[in-house]
Amino acid sequence: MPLSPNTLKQWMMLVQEMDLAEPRAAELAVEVERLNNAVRKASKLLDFDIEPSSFVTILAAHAQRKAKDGS
Amino acid sequence: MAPDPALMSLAEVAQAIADRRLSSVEATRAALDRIERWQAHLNCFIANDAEMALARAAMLDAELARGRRHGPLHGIPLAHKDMFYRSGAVCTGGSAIRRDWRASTTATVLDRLDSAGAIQLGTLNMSEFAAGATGHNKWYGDCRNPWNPAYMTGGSSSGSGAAVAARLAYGALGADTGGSIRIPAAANGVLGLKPTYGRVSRHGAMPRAWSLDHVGPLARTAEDCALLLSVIAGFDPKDSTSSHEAVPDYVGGLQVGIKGLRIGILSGPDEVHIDPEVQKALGASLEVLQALGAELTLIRAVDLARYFELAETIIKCEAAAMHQRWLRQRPQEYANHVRTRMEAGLVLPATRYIEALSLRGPWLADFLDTIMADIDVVHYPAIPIPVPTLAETDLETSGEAVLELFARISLFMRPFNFLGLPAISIPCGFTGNGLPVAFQAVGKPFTEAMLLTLAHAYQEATDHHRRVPSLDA
Repeated sequence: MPLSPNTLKQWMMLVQEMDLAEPRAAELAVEVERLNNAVRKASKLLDFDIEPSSFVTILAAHAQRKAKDGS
Repeated sequence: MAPDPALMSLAEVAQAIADRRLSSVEATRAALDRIERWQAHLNCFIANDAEMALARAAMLDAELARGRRHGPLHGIPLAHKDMFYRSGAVCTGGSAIRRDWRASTTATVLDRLDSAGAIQLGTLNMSEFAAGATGHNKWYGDCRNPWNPAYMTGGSSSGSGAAVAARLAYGALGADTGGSIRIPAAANGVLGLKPTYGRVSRHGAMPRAWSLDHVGPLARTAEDCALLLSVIAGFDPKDSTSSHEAVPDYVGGLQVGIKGLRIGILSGPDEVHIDPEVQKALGASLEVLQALGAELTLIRAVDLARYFELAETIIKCEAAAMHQRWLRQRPQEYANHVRTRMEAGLVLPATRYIEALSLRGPWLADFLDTIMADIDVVHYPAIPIPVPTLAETDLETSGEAVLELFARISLFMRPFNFLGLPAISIPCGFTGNGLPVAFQAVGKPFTEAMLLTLAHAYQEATDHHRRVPSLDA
């Protein structure tokens, strides 16, 4: 079910106490739905134990591997 | 007639000052003279302080005369994007909200440049709160491209790209969250290096989205970039994401050459986004690299767009968290496009933000283990289309129609902020209308030395970087 502009408008008011004009709520609903769906779809690939800090660990591990074998 | 010192490279002028063939005051005056002639055309400075710059230059000349050289940048006039804090000084971030705001700390990168003997000529124009890929600024005026002022400089480090290209400063700092160093470097015809995430301290650099922010140099040559990176790179206890990796000798490694370097070249879906005129210049750059001994390999098609929306989610959520108080209380003090681009972050679920962050690790590992498994560098376009005009990219007047153009400008940029990989934009020619074209080289983590070696070898074999924009053009 698509995110309706009215739902988004009410949600913005509820959680951020910010009012959105109707046309802007319509634009933003499309954008929020697009990003929400993109991340939700991609995150199906995530393992239970993966956390954000794994990114920095991989950068560092690669640097150590480079220093060790020159790759 | 003696050559204009402003036209020398940073490395050349540093050597001339060290040898006392040129004084820092002379180099600074040359830059200031050029700023005076060009500023009205480019609007690349938000503020400059000639008196302070000349006083520091005189002090550095006197110290050198007494035998004290501060470091490799002794007496070199630089200028930086107006988002690097200096204690007690105004730092606008290109915004109306911070027009008079004074920092209470000094950015580590400025501290390090000061210690190495650099001079700061002033602060450079930028997109408001570093949000924008074009160089428009509602509050300080649009920054204009020195090759043709009707065209965009790119952003958000718009002034950095324009000032270095016009020879108003020997180098500049920029910051890159989704291409903000590499886009203006490409659009203005200079080198721009986005280092590996954690390589250069972000302490005292105004955040755009802290998970994706990278600080780096823009300069005319690879040697200039290497000199600047040598000074600013390295662990900083004031930045929790700073890396402990040792800093190699970037300048010393430039002469190694690229014989046997394995360069991955693009095939597949991303190619369709490249303009034919740009593609021609990119092809010519590959021929040069191959002639220098690099080995070219077709790489598996990768859809860079898949990184794009994840990075967008992170940027919007972090920016919204930082700005939410001002968004609520002072919305009229944002340009419309800056405010609206953050709004989605106010309502996206926290789970989506955390998932986007969590995907960085596995997707980085996947990129390294598959795309880069048998190569050293990937060759990509920088901006895959000819540099557009300011009018074509003005969101305040053109509205949402230009969003697709923005996505094309950033397509080959933002994925490498998401992946944290080092990437350098290298000028490789000009389109028929005289605007620069650049290619981008993306390396594995902490391989900035190799990227600079590649850029140096390429520049030794070509002369695109030696062309100087003219006020008479």
